[in-house]
Amino acid sequence: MECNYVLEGQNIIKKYKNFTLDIENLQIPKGFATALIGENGAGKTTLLDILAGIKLDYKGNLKFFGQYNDKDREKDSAVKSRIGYTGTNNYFFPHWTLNQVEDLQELLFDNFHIDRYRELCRELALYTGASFEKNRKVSSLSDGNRVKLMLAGVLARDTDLLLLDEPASPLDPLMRDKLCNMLRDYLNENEGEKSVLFSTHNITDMESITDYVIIVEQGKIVEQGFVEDLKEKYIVVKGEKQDESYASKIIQNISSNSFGFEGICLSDDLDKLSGMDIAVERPTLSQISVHVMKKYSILGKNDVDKRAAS
Amino acid sequence: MIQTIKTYNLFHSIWDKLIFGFAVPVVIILFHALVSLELAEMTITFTVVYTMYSEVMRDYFIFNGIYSRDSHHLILRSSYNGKKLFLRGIMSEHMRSLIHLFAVVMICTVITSILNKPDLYYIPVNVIITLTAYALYTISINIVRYFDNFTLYPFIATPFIILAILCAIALTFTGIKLGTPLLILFIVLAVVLSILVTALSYLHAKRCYENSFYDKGN
Repeated sequence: MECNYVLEGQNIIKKYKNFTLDIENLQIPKGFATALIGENGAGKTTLLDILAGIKLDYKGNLKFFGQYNDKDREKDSAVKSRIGYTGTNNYFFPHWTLNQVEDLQELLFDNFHIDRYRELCRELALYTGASFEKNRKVSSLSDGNRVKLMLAGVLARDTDLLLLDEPASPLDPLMRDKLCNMLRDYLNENEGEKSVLFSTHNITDMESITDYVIIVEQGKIVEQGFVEDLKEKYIVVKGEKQDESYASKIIQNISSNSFGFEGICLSDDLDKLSGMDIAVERPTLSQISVHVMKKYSILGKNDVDKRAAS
Repeated sequence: MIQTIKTYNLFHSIWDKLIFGFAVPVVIILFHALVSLELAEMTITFTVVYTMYSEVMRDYFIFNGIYSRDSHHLILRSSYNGKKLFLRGIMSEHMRSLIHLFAVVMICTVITSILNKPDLYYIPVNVIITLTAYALYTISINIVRYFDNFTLYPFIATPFIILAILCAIALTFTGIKLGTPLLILFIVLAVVLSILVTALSYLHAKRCYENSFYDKGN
């Protein structure tokens, strides 16, 4: 699918002692919600921090909104103010009250709308309007309420790109559904000019909002594409027990029980399984993600070795 | 100016203003009035000590850990105005602490003059003591702000407070009265020291904020 990109990156490298983020080519399509998926420690937060300008010790080229580089992002308020970011830990000063958080955002962000913020806080059930509620400290909020506070803050601003680090993780299922609706409303504003990039472990809950997927493993992008294209690229295969040993040569990370086997393979490899009694299904995003992550992760390799040994 | 006031109010809650901005100075001034009946001008030593300690404690509740890399200000780093707000908050606090020290010392000086024989000599002396106390206090909080441990605050600040006490003792307890040229020299030195320390504090805060964008070792 041809599209414009809200964010592009080449050769993004950030080194830690035991880990290197090495992204050769990053493209976030404009007007869509992109999910950044990967196991713990894959590099999702590091990548989001680099894109949001939270970390500046990296190498590589970034291009925002088709024309601005990362230096423009740091020097030009018009660029950075178009990017909304929410993190996981250490976002707010924990001893501050909700009142102080409200005043802080008004001072920090020129495009912050206080009325919209208060409405969002009421909508997200952060407070019901009693004045004493705003004297609550951030540290007294649950993880879910803290995320809601961050989301209210970014959605109360006029932005064109949201970078959200694990927004769904601490939220209850009802709130996750609400989050998907809010992001959908955000994307529908300004006719395709707004984009969202979020990292998530809750692939199933966030699948309804996800248009584009980037799977990161061990600091590298191992798969990316529009969800529909990936669902055409991969296929779920189910077969009988007697065909399992042959099928395991084509299907990586095959799972089996006493009745048969199940696994994901490339659609292009389906003809290699001809002659076998198999059933095929369109995979879910969750199945594709787990399949790809298993292929590249250390956890996946350990599972394969364990299975081979047994 | 409005932005500075708003930023100052952001960092200082109503309780901070009530307790450390009003109640504590009132107690210190009342204590000064009581003690100055006996010790006259020498009471300023105690006033400076208590004021410095209360300011150090106040700083803990507002800025503890703010200079450490793991400090909680992702929201600041994600904003273009984050650095401006951070530095404005720090510098408005320095200005407030200088004004606070001066206000408390000057009120106490007036009380001492009323309760005892007024001696104009101690006005410039108290200015020197105040500026020296401010400079030493500022140096101490630039160190303690790396920590979020309450115990470390008075532990690290105490040597600097002792130095301020020694200055006050030298100027008030010894009975030695400095000549005008020496007084002027000490005032100038105290002003220069205060300006230098304030400027270095600004640069230090700026550096700490900029370092927070970089991981340790990188």
